[in-house]
Amino acid sequence: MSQQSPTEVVKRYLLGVLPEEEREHFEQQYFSDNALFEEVELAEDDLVDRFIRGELTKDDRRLFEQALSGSPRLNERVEFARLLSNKTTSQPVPKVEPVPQPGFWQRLFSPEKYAFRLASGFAVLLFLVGSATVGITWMNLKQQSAVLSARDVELKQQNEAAAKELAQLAEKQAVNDRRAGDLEKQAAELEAQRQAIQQQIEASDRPLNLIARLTLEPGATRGEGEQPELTLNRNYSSLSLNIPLIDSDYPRYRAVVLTPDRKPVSKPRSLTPKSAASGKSLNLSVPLTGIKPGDYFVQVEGIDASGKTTPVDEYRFRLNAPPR
Amino acid sequence: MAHRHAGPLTQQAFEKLLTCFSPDREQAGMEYETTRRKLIRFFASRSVESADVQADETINRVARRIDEGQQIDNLLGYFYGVARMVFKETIKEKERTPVPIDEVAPQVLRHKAPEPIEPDQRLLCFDRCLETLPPESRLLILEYYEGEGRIKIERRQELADRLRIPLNALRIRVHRIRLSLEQCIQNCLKQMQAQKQV
Repeated sequence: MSQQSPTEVVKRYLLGVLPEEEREHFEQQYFSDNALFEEVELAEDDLVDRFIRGELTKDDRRLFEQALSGSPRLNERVEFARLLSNKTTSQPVPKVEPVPQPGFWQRLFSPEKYAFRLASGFAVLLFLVGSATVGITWMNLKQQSAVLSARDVELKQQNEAAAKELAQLAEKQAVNDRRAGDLEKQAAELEAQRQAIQQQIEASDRPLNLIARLTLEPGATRGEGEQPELTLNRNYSSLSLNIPLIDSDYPRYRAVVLTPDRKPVSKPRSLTPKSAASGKSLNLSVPLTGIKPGDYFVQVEGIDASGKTTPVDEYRFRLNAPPR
Repeated sequence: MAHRHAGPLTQQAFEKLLTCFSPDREQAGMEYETTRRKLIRFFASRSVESADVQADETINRVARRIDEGQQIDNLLGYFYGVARMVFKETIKEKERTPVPIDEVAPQVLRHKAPEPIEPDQRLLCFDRCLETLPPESRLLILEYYEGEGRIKIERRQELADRLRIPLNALRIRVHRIRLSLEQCIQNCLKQMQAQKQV
């Protein structure tokens, strides 16, 4: 039996190549396990994204295209992924950056201030022209007065600029205080979300509860050929043994799994044979809880119509320890 | 198929179904949405054309059973069983009605096929829906998918570090935003199609 990782099972399910029986079993699992279902959805996101980026292997791409041709839903998901990819690769994502404030000198020489200064200058000029008519004796005094007036205007301008700057700083401070409050709130919400998601992750780490299947071969004591074996895995909860019957025709059988020193590790089960094109066989299900790696064999006895049992055959198999 | 497409669900039946999911209303709503997505996936993976219609039919049947007083121990397992039954009925119904095209009644032919979706419509819906996301979700999904190759991987790790969450938790958070965005786009496109047909 081929062993698959859970990721591989999900991928094969999404690509539509999981055999019917395994598919139904897997679906039953995700119907009752939301964390597993979320993994399936995440894996599909990944598959769709890799498809549009041309990152799938040739075989996976072929299988994906097959699945795409029969699924309007998947087509929609691919269209969405393309839009998302275009949006995030064609233009840089806007980042929240603080808007740079103009410096003191930039503000001082800004066009509005320049016009104001021009107007003030013009007023001073008018004043000088008026004072020229008063007389030469007063000229020097008037000139001094004009210089003082100009200085006064300049000082007033500087005062106004400083007052404005102070007001802006106070406004900035208020905005920063509000932002700090918002950030604290966001941090608390994020922490709560983180804890919830952490719980989900821990929950999704549960074993998958899968059934391992193994087909046995008759003749445990003959020692011919290799015995069937299975490597144990935490995701396997039970083992389904397929036991082919050779030259045996009882209406019912009794089967039990034994250790090499004939200690039973499963309850004896009464089984009815199933017919298939390849012949008759029995199906014995054994829970894997508490079963250790090692050699085992299944002892099969036929039960006739009167209820009398007769040994039929023994089937050996090996359970390997899970890989570390 | 006595109860196939047996009319819309009553409010009472729907309320009872939600209570079976969870006594907490919000949790019940989330369980309902997840179950519906599972059902759509179930039908879509079997190439059923109207997977969402069959998913709703399955939900309706389960809700009616609950409303009739049936005790259901394993609700999600029961959903799966009903979904299988609905699927089998869909197959049988398909096999039973092989109608040649020249025998199709004129009124059937008069049914308008859905208009093809124009790329512009899709882009418009995408942009609209992106705008309706909360700003932090919008930035998160755009930043998560930004860049390519190694840069993208490094960016995602940085993002997870900045949010102080593991990478897998970030993956799940973005996936949920993506789901709501896709759902919004589907609704937007349906509205556009409906307006076109009017």
